[in-house]
Amino acid sequence: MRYEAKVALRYLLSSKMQTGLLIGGVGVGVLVFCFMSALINGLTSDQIEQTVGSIPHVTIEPREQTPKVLGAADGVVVLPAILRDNTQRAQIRAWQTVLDSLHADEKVRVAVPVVASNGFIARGQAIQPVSITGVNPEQLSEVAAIGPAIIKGAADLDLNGIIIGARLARNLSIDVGQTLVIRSDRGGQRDVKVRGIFSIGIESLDERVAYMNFKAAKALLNLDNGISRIEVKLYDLDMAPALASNFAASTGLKVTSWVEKNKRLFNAIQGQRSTGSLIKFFSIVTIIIGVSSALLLTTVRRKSEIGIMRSMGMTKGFINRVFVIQGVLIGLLGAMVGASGAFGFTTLVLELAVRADGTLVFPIDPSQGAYLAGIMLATVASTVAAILPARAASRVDPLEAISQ
Amino acid sequence: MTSDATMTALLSVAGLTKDYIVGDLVTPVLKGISFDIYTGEFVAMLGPSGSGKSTLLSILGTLLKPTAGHFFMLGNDLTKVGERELTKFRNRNIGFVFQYHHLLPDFSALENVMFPAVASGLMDDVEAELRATMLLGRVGLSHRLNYKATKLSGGQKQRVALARALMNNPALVLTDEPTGNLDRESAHQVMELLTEINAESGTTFLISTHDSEIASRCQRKITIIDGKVDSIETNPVVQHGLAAA
Repeated sequence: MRYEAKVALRYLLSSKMQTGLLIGGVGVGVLVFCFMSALINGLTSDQIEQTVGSIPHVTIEPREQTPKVLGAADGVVVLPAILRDNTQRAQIRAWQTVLDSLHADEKVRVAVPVVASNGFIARGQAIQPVSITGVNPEQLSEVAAIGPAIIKGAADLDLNGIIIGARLARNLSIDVGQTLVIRSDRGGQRDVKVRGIFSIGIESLDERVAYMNFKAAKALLNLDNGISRIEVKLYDLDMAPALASNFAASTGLKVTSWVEKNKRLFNAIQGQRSTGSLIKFFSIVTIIIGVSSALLLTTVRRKSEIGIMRSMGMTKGFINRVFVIQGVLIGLLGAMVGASGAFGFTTLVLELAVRADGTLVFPIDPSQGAYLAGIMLATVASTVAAILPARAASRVDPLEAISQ
Repeated sequence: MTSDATMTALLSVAGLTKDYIVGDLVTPVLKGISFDIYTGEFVAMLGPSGSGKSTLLSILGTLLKPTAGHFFMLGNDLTKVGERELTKFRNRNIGFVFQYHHLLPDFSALENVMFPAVASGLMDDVEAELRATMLLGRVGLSHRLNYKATKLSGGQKQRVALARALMNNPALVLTDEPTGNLDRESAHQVMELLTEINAESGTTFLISTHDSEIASRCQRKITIIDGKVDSIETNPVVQHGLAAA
């Protein structure tokens, strides 16, 4: 193998122009592969972050209890009407057990217990409907990206604190440090102080959402023994549907993944990934065609040398290996050049393609360039591409070649 | 044919035929060739163009399979050996010197000579380099060891090709018009070398040529005409080769 490698290397070095072009060709293919990976993955992450970043990956809620209709006598048509109990909230009672099992699952990054209901905020004569969300202060950022959106005060949820949206604050003419009354939809009420005001930029959220301390909200909403839901975030977003099914089976609760709640987004992301995969596939095909055709030309050009090597007693395997090694070297070098180029290029795009407001023109992520996959795939592709020329070379008739 | 009972037949050809078949057209090129070549001989193979010399040389070099007949070398019937074994046999026992040198252009003179030994794993680098250096010295190219093949003159290239043919110490060296591409001076030098090496080492040479002057320097002349052995003549004047063996 050592001498085959020597011959292969000598062949590559003797045609520097052709070798350079081949390495460049593979490099461009890998650059496209890695650039597309960085772009598509960056775009996907950005979309997911914008959509899924502020919502749970998996939501665990109480199962809706629907009473069964008892059988009726023949000829009697039953038209059942379900009257929801107005005093009993839907809740997860054994939530601590469920939470413990979630914390034990290594695929779960965080599981946050949440109490939530509708209510009203009153200040003087002004009353505004709100959606109350009670969460442990240290877990607020897991439930909503409030921290960066705070425009006044702080994201501080002590027992008497509340964080409200900027539009709601304006409607009630209230500011940080001032006290207001919050009432639940079941009549509970509590005085709370505004600790922070946020502006997410979505009107409905800035006007209708209020965050409270978990314990205070449980008391306000009369949920002494239970909670409204558990919001779960995973290490791998793509596992959400499968894990949701597992959680549903093991807890008997209603479990919904983010994919179910955002089907259109999920389909769009899948489409995006498929398009990216297609482009990457064609970049690899281009590498195979390029390397194969160039090495086939080399076999024609080197025909008499191949013939003399065969006449000197070199086996077909020896000739085969000389050409396959050329493919490996071209693939490996080209892939490394391409991957380095792609990293540099994506980093440059990230730095230069920025709008005036600081947002990115391309939500590209250089860390998601799939460089190792690109290098390995291109090297394998180039090796595969060399097989056909190698076989052609090993089949050269030494007599025909020598008599040229 | 020589009748010296003490000599060993290195090569024994018996009833060898070769037909080239293109579609329905069968062209017989060799029509039952038989002769022996003995260890240490220096033999010329003469014949006009199209007589079948090159085809016979290719068969003897194991590069081409005959249609019928047998061909023994070193006790092996090479018509019955598979390709893989033939390749190994060729590497170990047969050297070639062609009309055109066919050196590997990207390698130096030394590397070209080392190639058949190192690439097949017959010798390690050190052993091969020593022998190749010695052989290149023998053909008068000590000062051109690291010259690329493309930088050498025609005569020098042919001398490198001769050194390469001798690298694995083959039992038989087949040469096809070895001086056909050279000027008179270079041709003379190459022929001198061939005869000297034959005399020194006892390596058997079979030289295919049109040139009657070259043939006159050989111990025997096998003349092929129209695919058959026309005559085999012994040249009693020539002393090298057998005499030295």
